[in-house]
Amino acid sequence: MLSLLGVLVVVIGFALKLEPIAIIFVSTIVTAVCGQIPPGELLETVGKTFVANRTQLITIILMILTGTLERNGLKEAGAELIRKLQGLSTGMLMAVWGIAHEFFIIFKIPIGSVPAYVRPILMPMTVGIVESNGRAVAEEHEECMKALYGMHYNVGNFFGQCCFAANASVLLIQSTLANIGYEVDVMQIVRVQIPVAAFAMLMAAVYTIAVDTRMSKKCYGAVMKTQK
Amino acid sequence: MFAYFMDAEVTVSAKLVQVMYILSGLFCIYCGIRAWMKKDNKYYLPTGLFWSLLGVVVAFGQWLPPLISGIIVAIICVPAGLKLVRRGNLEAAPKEEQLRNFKRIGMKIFIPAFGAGVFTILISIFLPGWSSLIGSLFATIFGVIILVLWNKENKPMVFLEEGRRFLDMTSAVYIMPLLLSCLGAVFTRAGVGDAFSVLFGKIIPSGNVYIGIVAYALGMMLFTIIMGNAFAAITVMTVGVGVPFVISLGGNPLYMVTLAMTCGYCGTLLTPMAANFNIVPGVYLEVKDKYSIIKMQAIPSAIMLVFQLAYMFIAVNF
Repeated sequence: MLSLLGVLVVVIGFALKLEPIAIIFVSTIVTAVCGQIPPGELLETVGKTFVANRTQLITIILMILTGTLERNGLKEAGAELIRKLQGLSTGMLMAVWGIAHEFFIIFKIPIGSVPAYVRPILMPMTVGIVESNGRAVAEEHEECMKALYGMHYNVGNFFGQCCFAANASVLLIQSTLANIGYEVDVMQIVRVQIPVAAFAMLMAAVYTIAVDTRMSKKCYGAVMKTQK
Repeated sequence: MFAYFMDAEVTVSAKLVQVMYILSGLFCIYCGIRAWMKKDNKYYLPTGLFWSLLGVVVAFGQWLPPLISGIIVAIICVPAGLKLVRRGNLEAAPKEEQLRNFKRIGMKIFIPAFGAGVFTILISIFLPGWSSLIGSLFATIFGVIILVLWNKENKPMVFLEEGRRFLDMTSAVYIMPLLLSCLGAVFTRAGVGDAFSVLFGKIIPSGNVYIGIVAYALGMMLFTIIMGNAFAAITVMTVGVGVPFVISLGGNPLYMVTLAMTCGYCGTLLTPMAANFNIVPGVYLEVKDKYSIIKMQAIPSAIMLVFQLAYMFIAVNF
């Protein structure tokens, strides 16, 4: 039972928002001491597991590409794509972005973060739809849009990321399975996650349109759309 | 090392994976050395040490004795755990330059961007037995070549420095999932799983796999709400609840563990502990109520949990 102390360190440490790596480091030592693992063996276990699982750092190689893609106008291209859409209601614009965003997550395309994309590009566009109808945007509606963007961003990110084979979550699932004695290929994990990702995409889009439609009718008596 | 690459017994796929590690590791070492040279912040010494040593294990882990790797990992954890690994706040290219490049290249820029996903899928379809992870290597090589062809200003230093900007942004938390895997292995070695199942055995009635699934899924969610991190929860919950109450009763391990992870994400949607997802974006958007994103996520989280529970019930005997 003493070996559970290490788990307690993790739970309390994360709950107190201490530095994650320090928590893991301390928990490892506590677990080793309580479980009577000698230091040499502990270091060997850590070394072996770290090296065997460094697949989780595979996105390092992609970073060489990522930054240069941004410099060469990837963000601008994303904005242009959205600008081409016409006849959209505010809710539909958010839902379309949400679906595109989840696809970008699945294919590990580095656009769509809240500070880099939603804030400077999408929020002004969504507010702009309301204003193009000759109405000032209601504060309640604007706050609702922000929350919906935040929600859509997270839902797409969380439930889409497990469809990219080299994602840290997929590789952690793989190593967790290996720790309990089951060797699986990352693509097997991805296939299990596809229905979850598809359902999340649909659910979030429907939910966004429903919430926004209700809010628009409440604030303006009608749904706001862009001109055709 | 050379013997490894000349060895005909080793598959091409395995060799390419090692090539990818060596390139990634060398890139980390480059970032570490640049941090020392550029002195972007006053913590440049520990920051550079962190990235350089990480690079050594990533590049050459295959050939280092486990004990040496373990010692290096332990040293890496020191600056990381003491918050001495800091960002250099490297600037993105100015907006005018991005716009100018977009005018020149246009929508084609999506082609290299889709590379990683597309190559991964192609490999899994056309090269059975190959590691689908090499997709990232192919995508990078393909992407770099195409970007050089499209824009002469994309010199080697541009790729290295732009890449460094992104690696720098991830900071030390980048290795956290990997350290959690190591912790999981130490847990297993110390018999934490057995102790856990004794403990949970007093709470969860065993013998019914469906009750086990509900306990595993809800446990993942609750643990994630408390800790703010599903990655930390999965290692503990799998050995403690997943194995004794679901998998040992015949539950399909692949489906159960994989879906337990995303059940944990339902918890992430509900917790202010996961501030970087639920609070910080709200700050960027200047929300009036800082919990408005979490509130908006309550219903989607519940729907996703129910969907995944149903999926687990159906897939239990796959």
